[in-house]
Amino acid sequence: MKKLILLPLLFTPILQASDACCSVAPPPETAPAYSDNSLFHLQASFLNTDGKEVKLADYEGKPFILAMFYATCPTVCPRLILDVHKIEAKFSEEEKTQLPVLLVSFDPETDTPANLKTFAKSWDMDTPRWQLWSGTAENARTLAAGLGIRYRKAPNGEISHSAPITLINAQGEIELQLAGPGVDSTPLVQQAKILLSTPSE
Amino acid sequence: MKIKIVLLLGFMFGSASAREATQQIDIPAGTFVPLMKNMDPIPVAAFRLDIHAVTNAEYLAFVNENPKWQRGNIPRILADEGYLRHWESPTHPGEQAPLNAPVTSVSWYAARAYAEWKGQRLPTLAEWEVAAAMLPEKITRQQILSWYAKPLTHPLPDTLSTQKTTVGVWDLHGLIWEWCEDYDSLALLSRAGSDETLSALFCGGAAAGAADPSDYAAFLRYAFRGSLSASHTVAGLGFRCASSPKEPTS
Repeated sequence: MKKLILLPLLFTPILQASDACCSVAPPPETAPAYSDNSLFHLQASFLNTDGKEVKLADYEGKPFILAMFYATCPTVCPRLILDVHKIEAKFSEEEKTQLPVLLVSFDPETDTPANLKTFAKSWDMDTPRWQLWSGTAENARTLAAGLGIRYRKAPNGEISHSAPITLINAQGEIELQLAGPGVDSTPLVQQAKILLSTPSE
Repeated sequence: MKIKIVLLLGFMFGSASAREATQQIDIPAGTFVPLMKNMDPIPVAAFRLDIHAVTNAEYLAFVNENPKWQRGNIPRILADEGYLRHWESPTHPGEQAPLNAPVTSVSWYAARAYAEWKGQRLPTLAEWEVAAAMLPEKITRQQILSWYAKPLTHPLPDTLSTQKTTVGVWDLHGLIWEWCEDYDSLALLSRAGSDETLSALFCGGAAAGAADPSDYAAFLRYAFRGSLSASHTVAGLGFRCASSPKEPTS
């Protein structure tokens, strides 16, 4: 018992000593100048369907539509993807080329790049404008946190999750979020058209 | 004796000591029974958990080595304006944050970055609950509940100062709230929307749907976690690290 009481006392000088040893702080890392609320700050990398490492900041400079899903989802995700298709139908071909769609998987274990490639084909997704990413469970959780998405994988493999469709602006900020499939998408379409008509620096 | 040797080595290797300082302990495999009856029990594999929450001293070593996580350098999306607000300066905890007290007012992103820096991770919610269910001897649920009812006093007491569980993990109850990797995974839908799981917790009849209505402290933890966003910082919310065993334990 004495040992445990002494422990904090003994730690103090050591940690102070370690502080002193490192008083010369390493030079600050040159952080990209993203805005305070930019999702590009999230430290998470993913793999696209070609197995190439990608990150959200790759979209810097252009607005895009972002949603999270998993390919074996029996209920919500098919509706979610249909809704994104419906949203797209409200844009001209020219506008569509400037508004990429990114779907990121909650379930990287099952949704390997190869599986997602097949999935994209089965859904007739306009790749590479539509991107499907997976990565690690940790990175999926990081992105979900940034988007305010909650999810839980049940022991049987099914994932309960919220399913918002998010419009991200060229700076990586959440411009507008639809709560989920079936929600009126007019505000998102209108906002996206405003972003597309505003030239970015 | 072992502790003395670790301390001695820590002295010799300077800053590395802070990274190695926190001892982890084996938590045997168990089953987490979620609060609500309609959720299946979650099997939890054996894992390792810090015996105490991350201290201000340990967190100081982290921000010294990773200036981008210092107060003032961190973008709002990764931590709100309360981040380390009780520290005297970005690199000096000061009187309100004693070196051996748990670090609090850190966001989930910050807690995870610290864990990653240590080559570890945050415990999952199920892991944390399994470890916390091994109640210290002589501690009753009523005592835990009375801690939740008591306002925190600052500066916070040191770690290793309350109670330890039957397997030797300290302060899981009675010192601070703690982040988990999937802290809000039991509260489903989006934060802005209505939330059946969570709203049920605020309804008087909700206990009828609970797996164990007597564990009211668990209700409080769920409600609290469900109210958090990853960038939030709270004066009584800190964390500890976990890791998976390198080899399966027999």
